[in-house]
Amino acid sequence: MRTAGRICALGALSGPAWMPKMSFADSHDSSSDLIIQIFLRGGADGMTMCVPFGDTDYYTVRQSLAIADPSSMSANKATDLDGFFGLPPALVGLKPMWDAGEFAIVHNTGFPFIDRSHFNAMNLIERGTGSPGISTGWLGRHLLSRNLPAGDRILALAPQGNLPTTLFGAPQAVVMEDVDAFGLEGNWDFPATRMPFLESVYSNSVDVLKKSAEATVGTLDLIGSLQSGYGGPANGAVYPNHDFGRGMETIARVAKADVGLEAACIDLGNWDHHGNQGPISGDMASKMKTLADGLVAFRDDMDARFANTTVVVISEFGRRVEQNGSGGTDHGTAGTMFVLGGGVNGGQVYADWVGLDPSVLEDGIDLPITIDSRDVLGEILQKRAGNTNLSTVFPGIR
Amino acid sequence: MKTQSIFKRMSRRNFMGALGAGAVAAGCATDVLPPVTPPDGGPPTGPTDPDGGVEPIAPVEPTEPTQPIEPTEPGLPVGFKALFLNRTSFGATAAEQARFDELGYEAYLEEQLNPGSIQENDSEINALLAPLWTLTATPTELLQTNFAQAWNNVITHLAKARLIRAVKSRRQLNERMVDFWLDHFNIQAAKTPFVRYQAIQYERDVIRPFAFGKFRDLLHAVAKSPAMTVYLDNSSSTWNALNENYARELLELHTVGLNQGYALQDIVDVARAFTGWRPVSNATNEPPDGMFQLGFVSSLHDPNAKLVMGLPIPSGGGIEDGEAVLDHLAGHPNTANHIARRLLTYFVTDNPSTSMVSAVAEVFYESDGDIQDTMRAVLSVENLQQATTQLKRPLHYVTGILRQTATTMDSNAAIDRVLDDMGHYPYAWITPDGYPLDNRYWVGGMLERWNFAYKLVKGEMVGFNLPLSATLAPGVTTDPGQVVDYWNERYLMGRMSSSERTALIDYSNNVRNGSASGDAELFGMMLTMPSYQTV
Repeated sequence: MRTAGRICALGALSGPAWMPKMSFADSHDSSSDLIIQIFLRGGADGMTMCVPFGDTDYYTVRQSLAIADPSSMSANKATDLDGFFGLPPALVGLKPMWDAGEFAIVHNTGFPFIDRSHFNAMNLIERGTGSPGISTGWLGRHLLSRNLPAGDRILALAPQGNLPTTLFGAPQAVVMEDVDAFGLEGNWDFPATRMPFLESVYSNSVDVLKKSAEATVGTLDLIGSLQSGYGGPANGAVYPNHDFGRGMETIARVAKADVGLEAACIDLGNWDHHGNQGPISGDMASKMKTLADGLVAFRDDMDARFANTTVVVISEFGRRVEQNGSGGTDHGTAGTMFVLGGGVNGGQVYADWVGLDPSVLEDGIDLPITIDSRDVLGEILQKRAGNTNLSTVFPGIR
Repeated sequence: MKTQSIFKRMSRRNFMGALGAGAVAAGCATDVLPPVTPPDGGPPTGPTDPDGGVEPIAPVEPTEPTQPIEPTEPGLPVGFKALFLNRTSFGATAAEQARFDELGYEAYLEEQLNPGSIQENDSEINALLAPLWTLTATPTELLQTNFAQAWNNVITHLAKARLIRAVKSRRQLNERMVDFWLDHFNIQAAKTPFVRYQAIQYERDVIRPFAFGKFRDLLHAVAKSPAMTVYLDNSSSTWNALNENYARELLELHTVGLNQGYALQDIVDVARAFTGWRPVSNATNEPPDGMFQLGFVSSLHDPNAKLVMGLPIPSGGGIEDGEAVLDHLAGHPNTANHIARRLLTYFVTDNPSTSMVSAVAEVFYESDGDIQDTMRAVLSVENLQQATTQLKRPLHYVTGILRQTATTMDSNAAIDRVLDDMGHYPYAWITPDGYPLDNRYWVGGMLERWNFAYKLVKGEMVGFNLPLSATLAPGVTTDPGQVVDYWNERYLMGRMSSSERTALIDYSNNVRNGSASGDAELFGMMLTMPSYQTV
């Protein structure tokens, strides 16, 4: 077993070695950070997202997909982060945030016991538990446990077509792709009468419908203040012209409107690169570029509010260590997680890298999960969202 | 009418015995012990479950007889008609409700299970499909057309055709089955130009002909479809460059279900069995319409021996290796369980009980995957009595309004865009699991639904015309109470709650002029109510 012994200062901390302590600063006011989950659907390749150039085996298992060593002459080489790990060219836009200590990477992470199934892994990560009896999402349970007093607010937002599982169970969670288009339509004789009618007929419906209608009507109550006087992103931030970019802008816009936003979830899909992965100039590169551009724009746009924002970039699993015959990678186990925000102890890769020798790999083929993703998420909720009872969010976690 | 099979007594002993045999064959009893696949398809219940542990299948009482379906019409439970018609159609028209009243439950179900026996609404459907020229074009023709034009039209035409059939077909249960199978065997048309052009053939020649056939035939047809082989990358898998994508989803999604009796090595051996399966089109091997078809390239095939979930596949085989895998999986008891649970989740309840699943799985297994027989079991009176309230998915909601109100559509009616706004565009779900069945995934989209109804009733949906007649209450006065009661029977088959009824009447009296019949806005209010959003 080979160990890259230059990981984070795990030894100084109590607890098992696999447990990260990202030393999030405690939130400086009584309210919660805005917690954002960006889900890379399809299983993003962690060994491309955070390149282990310091492990020479990497260049053996990824003959045509490897990102060149930072010291190489290649035009498309990795950008060194800590002498062992690096960023691929498509993510280099995130380097300034790294240097500013606002961006940390967790490697070899995942939900333990994943079985290389997209749907099972997403389900486990988003629900935050393997318990069949719990069908709500981890962020949904956290928001429910906030137990906030009644009142119009947009507590949680999904700036896309549908509610992701992570937010199942959340109160005041709304799906809103476009702030400006959010409203009751139709040239009705008495348009405003529709809202009390909806409130009335949905008040007795099944719980999920009732909650959704309440959140929708509550958002309609607030939408005027959100729509008026929006002057575009701050600091000249330019979001990528893509659903993801528009979604990130919507999150920032709602956050800046001070309507009580504490959580948002957004998907960035199609990372299932079984073939023609394209880490330098192909499909994966373009997706990573979209991700980085969206994050940089969001950070600039949020400005001082970024100090009270924590963004988690997560995927259901990483991919097979050795590339397949189609210029891609099959499903794997451990992957990477990005954590960004003002309260992040950034500029570090948190990893317990065991190497790429088959003898230390999961089933001889995949990166083993050395950091439980729930430990990272739990720490965020504890330190940045004032959650003092993590066991309701992540039941059964050690 | 084929009533015998409804009462067919199933041999539980054989089915349970088969489960045991499967376990032995796989050499690891705990891995194979059935299913209990969770309702939302996700949490692990197998040995890898970190918190939950293995939940064994509930033993079936050996003395429990299969209940014959007795209730004749007077004996049907209250509200059964609405429940049954809402699950077996995208929204029952007055004619379909009358047909149910005329035939009764059993005969109506038999009629719907034999779609060929129903005189199809061909003139209306064909008139609406006529402008969708790519549907009858061959891939060669598409490639010869202006690329961008063909590219955009294929996807629009496919989606529109799907929705037009859902709205206009009298073979409603067949349309529901097609909806089910297209999710079960999902492909994303935009994956590549090839998949997009093959999607036409996929729905027409692969899914539709087998929707009520034998699951085995459907599985073979899907496995051999150019669309699926490319969508799940099998077409690029070779003996020396294996791609596991199709193999994994074949096991997890199409057949036995997540972790139900297989391990990583089984996936690898399945992938090896299918090496060399790829679409071909050449002069000697060209189907009549110029579409691609599956070919087998033996030089790319891995001829060595394989072992797939207890099935030994000897070395030296060719295309029969993959066929043997498909046959083995189609007949596997875990597949019966998986399909039974999916069907019950789609048609009956979010959380089917273990005994409900076992009973349906047994019919599936004993009938060698006969989908008609299985659907008789799924839609039994007993099962429907345990149905839970389910949110209509957008396709169901939109097509239901259009068909129940006999809304007309001209060539400008962008029905596909309506579905796009609601996140339910046909052939657009990226991953192979298909659009979610879970209500909670869809509840966030209430605003789009409300707005569709609001605009439709005011004539603001371009190309759609909801006729005034749909909002009238012929034969009754304009009294709001009587009109609302009429609408309740006609559109909701009595599902309106008393508080919804009161709210509508109050709205008519307080906001409108109290003349409810023909009041499009009041009618629109009804379409936004929870009872119309659900089944």
